Amino acid sequence: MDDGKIIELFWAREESALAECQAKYGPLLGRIAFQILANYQDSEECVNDTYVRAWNTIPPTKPESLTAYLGRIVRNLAINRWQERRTAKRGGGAGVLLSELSECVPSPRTVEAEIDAKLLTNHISDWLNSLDTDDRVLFLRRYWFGDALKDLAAECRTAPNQLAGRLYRLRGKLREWLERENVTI
Amino acid sequence: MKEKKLFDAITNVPDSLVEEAKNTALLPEQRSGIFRARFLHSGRKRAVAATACAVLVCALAVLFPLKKSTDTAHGLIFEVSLPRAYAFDDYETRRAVRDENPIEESFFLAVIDFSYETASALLSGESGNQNFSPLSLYYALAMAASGADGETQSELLTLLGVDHADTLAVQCGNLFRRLYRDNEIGRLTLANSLWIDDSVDVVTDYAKLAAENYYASSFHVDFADEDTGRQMAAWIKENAEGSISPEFTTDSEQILSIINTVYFCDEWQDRFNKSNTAADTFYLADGSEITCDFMNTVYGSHTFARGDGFTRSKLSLKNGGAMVFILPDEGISPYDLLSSPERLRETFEGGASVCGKVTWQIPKFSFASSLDCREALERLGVVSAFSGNADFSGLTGDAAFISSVRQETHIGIDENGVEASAFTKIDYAGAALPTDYADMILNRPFLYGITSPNGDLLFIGVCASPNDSR
Repeated sequence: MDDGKIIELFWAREESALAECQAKYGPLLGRIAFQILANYQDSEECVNDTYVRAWNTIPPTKPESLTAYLGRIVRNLAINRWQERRTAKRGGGAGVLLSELSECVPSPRTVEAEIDAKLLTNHISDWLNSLDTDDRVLFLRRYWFGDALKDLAAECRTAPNQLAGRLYRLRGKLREWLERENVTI
Repeated sequence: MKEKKLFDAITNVPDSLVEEAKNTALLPEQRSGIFRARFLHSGRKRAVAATACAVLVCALAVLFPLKKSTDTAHGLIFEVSLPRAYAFDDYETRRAVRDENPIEESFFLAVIDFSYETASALLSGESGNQNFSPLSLYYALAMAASGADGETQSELLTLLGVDHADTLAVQCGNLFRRLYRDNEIGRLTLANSLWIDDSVDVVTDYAKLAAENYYASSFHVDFADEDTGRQMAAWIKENAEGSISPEFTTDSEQILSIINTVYFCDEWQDRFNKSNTAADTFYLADGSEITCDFMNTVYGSHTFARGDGFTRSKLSLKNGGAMVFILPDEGISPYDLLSSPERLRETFEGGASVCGKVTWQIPKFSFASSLDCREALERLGVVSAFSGNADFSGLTGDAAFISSVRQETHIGIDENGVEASAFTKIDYAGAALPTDYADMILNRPFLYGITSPNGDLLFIGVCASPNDSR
C-alpha cells in the first residue's frame, strides 16, 4: 500500500493503518532501533511505541514522507531509551554511532552561545546538499538509518575498513564545514 | 552532550534527503575490486559470558531378544541440514524467522508448565550443585511421543501438554527454528539424533518426521559393538562444542537411542569489569565456608522482585535471553523453592516487582551435573513407556520400551562480554529515582534459570558450592 493511502487510513481513524505500517515499515524501523539499542526486546518495544505515537499525531499531522516521519519517531524513542539504559549502566549500539559523530563536533572559535537545534539541522542539510549523491546517501544510510558498516561495504563491493576510511573523511568534512560556518555546539 | 545534538540535528534533516537515502543504492567502489561480504563463523573466538549445555539420552531396549543381522550397512540414514544461521545484527532475518514459525500460545504455556513440573520432580530431592535443561528433556520426550501410540503416547502427550502428536511435531519444529542461533555473539543450538540398531527396522515415515520436525539425524549402528558408544560420545562432544564428553557403554539389548543436545552460550548485555572480581566468602548449606571469586557490579536502576522467601533479579544476554538469579531468604534452601511446581513458578514469576538500585555479587562457577530422569517421569505419569506394555509402533515394528532417560549437563559463567562502548564522553540523563534497592549478594546457595528470547526455560539449576565442578 502506498504511503498516501496509509496516511488516509490514519486520518479516517482506521486501525488497519497500524497493520499496514507494521507490514511496510516494521523491518526498517526495527533495524534503525536495533542499531541504536543493540537489544531486540527494547527495539521491538520502540517500534511498537512508534506506531502508537504515529496514531496519536496523525491527524493533525499529514507527513510528506512516512519513512522520514516514522523513522524520526523511532530514532528519538530509541536514543532516549538508550540514554535511560546507559544511566542504568546498560550499554547499547548508539555508543558507536555517537562516538563516530563526535568527530564532527567543531572546535569552538568564538564565545557565542550554542547554536539553535533548528539552525544546526539547516547547516547539516546545506552540507549534505553540497555533497555528491553517493556520499550524501552513504552518510545518511550510516547516521540516519544506522545501517551496519559491513552491510554498506557489501553494497559498495568494498572492504569495511575502506568504507570506514571514506566515512571518516566525510565526518572530517562536516566538522570543517561547521567550523567554517562558526557553528558552536 | 554535543554528539547527541548532532544526532538530533541529523534526525531532522529534510524528508527529501531521507527518501533519497532510502531509495538510492550505493555505487560500487571502483578501486577496491570485488569484496564478498561474508559472515565468518569458523575460527571465531567468542567472549562467552555464560555457557550451558545438556545432553539427554533416551534409550529404548528390546522387549524380546532379536536375532542380529550381519549384513546391514552401518552409518547415516538421514542427515539433516540445520536452519540457516544469521548475523547478530540481522534484524530482518530474525523477524522473518519469527513470523514464519508461529508458536501457539497453548504450546508455549505447555512447555513452561512442563519445565516447572519436571524441574521440581527431578531436582527437589537432590542436593549440591544441579543443572537441568527442561527443553532438552521436552524434545527427547516429544520425539518418543511422535513414535508412540495408544496409552504410551497418551501419557507422554499429557505430560508434554499437547493434545495431538501432529501438533507437537509441527510446534517443536517451529520452536527449533525460532530458538536456533549461531552468530558472532552467541549460540543456541539443539541437536537431535536417532541411533538405531542394525537389527531393527525403523518406520521410514518416523525417521522422515524426526528429520523434518526435530532435525534429527539417524544412524544405523550395532549396539553390541563397543565402538558404537564412542561414536555416540563423539557426536555429543561435537554438538556440545566439546563441553561434555560422556562415556557410553552400550549393550546388545539396546535397540535405539534418542540423543538430544542443547548448547547455549551468550554474552552479558553489560560485561562485568574483571578488575572488580574479588575473592570473598561463600557460605555453604552445612554452615561451612569456602572462598571463591565473585563478580561485582552495581546497577543504578534495575528491576527486581521480592516474594515469599526469595529475591529475584535477572541479567540480560545479548541475543535477547536472560539469566535469572534467585536468592532464597536466609534460612531457606534453594531446594525448598523447588519443592513443588507451584512454588517454583511463584519463585520465577511471582513476587512484587520494583525498580531500584541493585548491588550484584555473583560467584563464578562451572560444573557438570548428571540426572537419571526415569523415576521422576514415572511419578509424573509416564509409566507405560517404561513397561512391557509400551507401544512404540509408530517408530518400529519390534516390541520396545524405554530403558533409560539420562541427562548430563554442564554450565559455567564468567565476566566476559563485549565492552558496550569505548566511548566515554557521553553525558548521562538522570534516571528515575530508585524507589527501593536490593542486594543480590549470592554468597549462599541460590537458584538460577536461563531463558531464551521467547521466555522458554533452557536451564534451571542450583549453585550450592561454586568451587565444586560437579
